[in-house]
Amino acid sequence: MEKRQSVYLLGSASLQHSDFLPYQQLIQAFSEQGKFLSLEHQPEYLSCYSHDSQCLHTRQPLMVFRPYTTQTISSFVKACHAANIPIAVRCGGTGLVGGSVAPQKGMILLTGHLRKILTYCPRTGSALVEPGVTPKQLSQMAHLDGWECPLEMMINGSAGLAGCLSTGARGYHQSASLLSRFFQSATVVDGQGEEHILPAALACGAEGMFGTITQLQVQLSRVPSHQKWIKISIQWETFIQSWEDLQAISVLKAVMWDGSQFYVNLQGEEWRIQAACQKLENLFPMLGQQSHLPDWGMPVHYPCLTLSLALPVWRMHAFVSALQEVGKECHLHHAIYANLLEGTLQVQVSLADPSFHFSHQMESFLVLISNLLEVHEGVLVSHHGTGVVLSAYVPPFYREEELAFLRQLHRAFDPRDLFMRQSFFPVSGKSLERTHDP
Amino acid sequence: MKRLEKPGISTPWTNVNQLLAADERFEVVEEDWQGIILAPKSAPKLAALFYLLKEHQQPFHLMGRGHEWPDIAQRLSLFISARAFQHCEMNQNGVVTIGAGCDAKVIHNYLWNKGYEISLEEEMEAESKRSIASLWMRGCQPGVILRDKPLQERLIGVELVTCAGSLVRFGRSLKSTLMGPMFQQALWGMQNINALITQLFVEATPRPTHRLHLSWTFKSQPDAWKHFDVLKQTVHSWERLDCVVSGRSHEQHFVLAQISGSEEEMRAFESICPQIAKAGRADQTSGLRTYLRNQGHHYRIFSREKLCDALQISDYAWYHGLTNQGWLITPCSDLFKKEPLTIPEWQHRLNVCLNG
Repeated sequence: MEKRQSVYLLGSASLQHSDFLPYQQLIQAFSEQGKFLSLEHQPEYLSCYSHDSQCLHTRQPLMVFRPYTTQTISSFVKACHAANIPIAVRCGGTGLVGGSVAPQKGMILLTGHLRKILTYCPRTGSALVEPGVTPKQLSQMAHLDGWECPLEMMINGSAGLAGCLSTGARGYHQSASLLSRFFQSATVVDGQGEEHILPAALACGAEGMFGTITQLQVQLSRVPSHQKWIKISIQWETFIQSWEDLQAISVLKAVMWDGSQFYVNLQGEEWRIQAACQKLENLFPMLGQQSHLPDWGMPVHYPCLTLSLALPVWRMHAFVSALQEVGKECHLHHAIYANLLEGTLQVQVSLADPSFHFSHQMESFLVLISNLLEVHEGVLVSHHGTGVVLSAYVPPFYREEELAFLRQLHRAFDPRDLFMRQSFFPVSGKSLERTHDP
Repeated sequence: MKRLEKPGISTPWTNVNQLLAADERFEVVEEDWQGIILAPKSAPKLAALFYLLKEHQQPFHLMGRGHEWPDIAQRLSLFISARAFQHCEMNQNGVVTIGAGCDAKVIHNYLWNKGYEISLEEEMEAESKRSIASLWMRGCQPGVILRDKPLQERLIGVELVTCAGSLVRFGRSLKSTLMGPMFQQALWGMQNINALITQLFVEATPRPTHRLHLSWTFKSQPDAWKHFDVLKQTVHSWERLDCVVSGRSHEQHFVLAQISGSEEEMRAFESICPQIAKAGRADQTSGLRTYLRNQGHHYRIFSREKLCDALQISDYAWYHGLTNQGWLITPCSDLFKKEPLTIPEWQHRLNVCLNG
């Protein structure tokens, strides 16, 4: 009779289970090169790493490793490759799509504590940094030399740059092209423990496809000589009538909409900004002035889900109206911020009635949103990446051939799929499938 | 004997002849060489063609990647091209979809009529017309940067057909789509990938109402460089800022600049620009390029720091201030040897995947 094995590990009894042996061997091999949390070592803290900044997908890892230096990462990944132990990398832990949630039988590799600025040139503004360095840290270091890290996010003090590059994260008022200007190259350790220096564009949005980032070459930006935020309280239809005239303004950097008001950001030389302000006053007689970045802090009602969508600007208003209908259908509250210049829409949804099950409501909501996006020529992923949360909803926005190619490319760097197991790629039979032609 | 092309050739493979129409199959004849160019007009046909050629185990060259034609000794008899992709279409978001075979002049004229532009003007003047795909794969860096956004950053999506016969798209025509790696920008300058680009999605800029082309001439090289540095520190929104110097003592040196904006902005600019009264108001860039081309000189990349030291009597130097690119323009072609290109491991693995 075939011996049956339980698929569950029962607390401390699991320590005797043969499934846990590879993990124990890893701990023994690397105990002097970092700190471990595991079922044997401070297990009560493992739950701290069960999720990132979203609560839809959680899983307690079997192990957490905090290397003392980046030099350890290559040999550690090699050992995980040999033992077939999947890894989720956690940088700042501020991700919104479950990118640092451990897969089944997986462990967490921490890199957010690796925060050394290895080299910095005050003359050129270029720097070589470790993965956990934050935008705020860089800006504080270089401010007196007239440089700054151009990424402006609410989580500037906690988001690691490696995580930002992996998911394409930047301020909601900022463009994706900023990332390729700021990040020059990334040193990654692939799924076999080999090091590569990749152009930043390849690592940007890759979410671990080529491996984990251990170093970044970055180029700081000059602090803008002048910057202005201008508030415009006006109806959408009236504002959009002047869209072509607005786009002709050379110092226009962002146009934001919070559902009721518009915020226009001008950046550049003072003589240009003065002319631009005059033009705006001619277009919109009722102008308010602000001297700093508006507070984008969306009121957070936990549990919640934050999405970053890409949409053509001429579809945005209709999409938001349709979104409101979907929200009513799913008994959800939502808050939105739109960047019209870049064509992105940030949506935060939470439960209107807490008696409903959150994850069940989110599943229904995401299916409806995917349908809506297809109708309005939008795409599901912009600022936050795909991760675990959105992987099942990717099929409408990707052709089969494209996913097959990306999978093949991923396997060329990570043949045992250590870094993206149960993340990014939709699983056949567990993802959105078209039921009929619209 | 020039290279002659004749459409309608029957290839040795029946299924290829059935797949492609007569105006997609070309016989190419040179004095010492004969071959075939296949130029399908649609991406699915191109994908099917690669698949069939792989079945036949037929090697081929890919055209449109910025390479010169291989020497006859190394040349295969079959070339595959995406030159038939000639479309150019703009959407409401300022994004233009460009077929891989379109050349710079066609794109420029199309966008001009729509009130938009991208900085390809140097390629428009080039003697041999290159397609947008080959410009991309060559990694061309024009000296003009519009709205502080270099050409490379304006590519927001690309469609290509891999040599394995797959149709793959990176990025979209929506600016802020970010699903998976930004291959579209990583491909810039990668001449050896095993794929053909079929179309690109490029972000264009609304054409400004006013543009100034300025030039200053100097008798002394240090004066030219000094004024160049002053301009760079004073104004940060140039579209072009170049310094062109000669090794010949009797010739003049130039600082070339270009800036644009609204009428009010240009008025404000003129009040702060150093030595604006001494500036010429005509675009000298094209004339200088033509002059240098007629010299029959060779271009070699040099950093600014080494440019002046390397400058000999018969040489010229052109420095793009916005891209920090410099060229020594010299009559001596055998002075510099081409270093062998080392392909990094990650690019090798990418190519293996593209090959299927």
